[in-house]
Amino acid sequence: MMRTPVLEAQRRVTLARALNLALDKRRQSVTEFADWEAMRQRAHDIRAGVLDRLDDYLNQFESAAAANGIRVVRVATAAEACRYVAAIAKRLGVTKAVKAKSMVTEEIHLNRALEAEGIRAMETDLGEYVAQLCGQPPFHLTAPIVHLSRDEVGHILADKLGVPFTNDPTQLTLIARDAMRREFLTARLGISGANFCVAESGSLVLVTNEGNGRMCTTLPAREGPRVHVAITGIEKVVPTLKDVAHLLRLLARSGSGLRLTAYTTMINGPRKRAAGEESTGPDEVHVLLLDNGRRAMLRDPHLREALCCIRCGACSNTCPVYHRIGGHAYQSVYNGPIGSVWSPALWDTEESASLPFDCSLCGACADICPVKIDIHHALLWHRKLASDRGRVPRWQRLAWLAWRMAMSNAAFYNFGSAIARRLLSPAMMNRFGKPWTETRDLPPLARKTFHELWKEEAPKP
Amino acid sequence: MQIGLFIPCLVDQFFPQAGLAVARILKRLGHSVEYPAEQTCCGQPAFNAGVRSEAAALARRFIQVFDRFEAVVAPSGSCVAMVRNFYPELLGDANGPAHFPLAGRVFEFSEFLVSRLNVTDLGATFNERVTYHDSCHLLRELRVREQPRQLLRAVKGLDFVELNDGPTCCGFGGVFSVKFPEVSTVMGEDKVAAIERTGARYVVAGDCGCLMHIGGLLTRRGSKVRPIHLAELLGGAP
Repeated sequence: MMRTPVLEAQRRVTLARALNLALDKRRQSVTEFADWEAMRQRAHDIRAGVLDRLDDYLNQFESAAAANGIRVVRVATAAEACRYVAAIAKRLGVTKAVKAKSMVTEEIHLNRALEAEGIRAMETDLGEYVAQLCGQPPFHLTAPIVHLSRDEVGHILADKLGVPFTNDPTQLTLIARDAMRREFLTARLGISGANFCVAESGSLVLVTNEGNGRMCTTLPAREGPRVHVAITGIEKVVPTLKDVAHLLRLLARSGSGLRLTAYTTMINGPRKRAAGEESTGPDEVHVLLLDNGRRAMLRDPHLREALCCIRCGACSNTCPVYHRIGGHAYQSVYNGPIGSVWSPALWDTEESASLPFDCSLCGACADICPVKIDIHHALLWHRKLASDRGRVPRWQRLAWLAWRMAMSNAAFYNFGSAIARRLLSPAMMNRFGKPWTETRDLPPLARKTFHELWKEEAPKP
Repeated sequence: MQIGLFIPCLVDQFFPQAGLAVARILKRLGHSVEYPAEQTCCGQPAFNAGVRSEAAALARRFIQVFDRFEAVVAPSGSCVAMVRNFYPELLGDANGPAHFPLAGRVFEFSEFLVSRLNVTDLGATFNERVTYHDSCHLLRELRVREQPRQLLRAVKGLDFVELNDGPTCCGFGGVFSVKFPEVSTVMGEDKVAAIERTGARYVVAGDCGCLMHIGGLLTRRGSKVRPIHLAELLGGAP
């Protein structure tokens, strides 16, 4: 029996308060549009259209970006991506880097890989920064420490940075800002993800709320060459800036109820050397377009739609299971409902294959998804794949076979009903049904089944 | 109309009165109701477990049993969703989903009454405060939201009060409830708390899985609130 831990009650309250606030604000903000459903459909069509012609758009992006002076590199695996970044750090001769929030860098465990090469990557998204300080993975796609209270964040900063305890959000932000500022002013390697790569213009689009993403990508250090590396999935390409504008209207609203994030950054290339007066901006911009299992997802007609995801996190906000178990229970970088679709697609392990089963199939995720991914149906497909790949234990398969045979003949089924009524006392039902009856009463079997009652009540000629 | 009664396993085993109420109501409206005795399960448990070959065998069997009816009606959103929404994928192949005419003739009880027969007032009386739980598959697979509410609002003496909790899942989810009992229970406890906040004496739903889960938690905590299937409430005494 698999037992997924439920968060303790106080943690559930803290988490629910934050997630429900985001949901309330979202509900409010989408009413600004006369036809939110049509907006979702258009967003879906934009993203699905990209998947239909992915290579065309990737090629277009690559040449447009190259024309802007950006180096675009296709990387197949996580290891390849990590090696590329480490090599840049070595070339620059730096031992530290500043990082904007990026789920793809979590996916490839970049920090760990850089650490092994003696390079320390500092997270600069406030949530990620705190998570990094206490050695935790992100709890949520867009809100890495959504489960922590102000007090807890205060204690972490006091403990790790040796500052006096405060739980005042402004003070906490200033403390983190202080610690980061020093790094920003000297860092020569900046790492980020990208929310979108625009095919027509070769631009990278980044959305953040604190502006630290900008610090990581503009790199204001005065000495030495500076490099910005953006790592993103191949699916993040979008045809036009107009498409980006549409998706941006849905992205922040869905995740947090904001009309837009505080910062929307468009990066069109490195600092132009020729213009002598231009002092800010990195000397080089590299974009790594990562596959790492995405092309396999693209080939599966039931999973490819999940590549439409724009990582807003709304499905986690609304998921009743996520509310109770929290992000860490998934033991995967991508958590929540969409994480349960992505994780087993990217990693063929026992653990990730079990994720799609930990779901009541309520479908709230699909209803909230701004790009209309049928998330829970994809989870059903994963369950089939798990069964096909022999991940359903043999005894269970045999039980299903026996069940099907019994159900294939009404006489068998009704005989089983009759036997159960004769032999199963309520006490035995209670014992048999332990996982149920420990916390819930099990109603007694009806004295007579519908089948029997119907025969009695309506003896048809 | 020649209507086939589709009585899902949980109704057959635990809540036969809900099935009888459906039959009674449809007959009262002048329809001929038949219960094909060779029916068993629609296959949903196996489908949800990922064991699709077993589910497909039962799906083909279901279509054979029910294909002769003008309409098939069931007191369950979940099982109707299985037939209407999931059979096409289950029985489809590399060329896409399967098409079978029966899918368009299978109805959940409340949608059949309101959307197909245009009936909302069944002349029932129920002098209690009542709240309604949206079963997930009924709401999100079949998009049936207003029909049960219309039926309840037409009941004389009934004081209808909304649940105002999302609507969120009760935590049943079939095998989910025993495979992940802790998560399922906590979801159910929050649902039950929301139900109790309404001050209702009865919680109505269109799926017996939800009613079994909610009811099991209600009685365990000694609550006075009772679960009842929509058809039973509307059907009254025989």
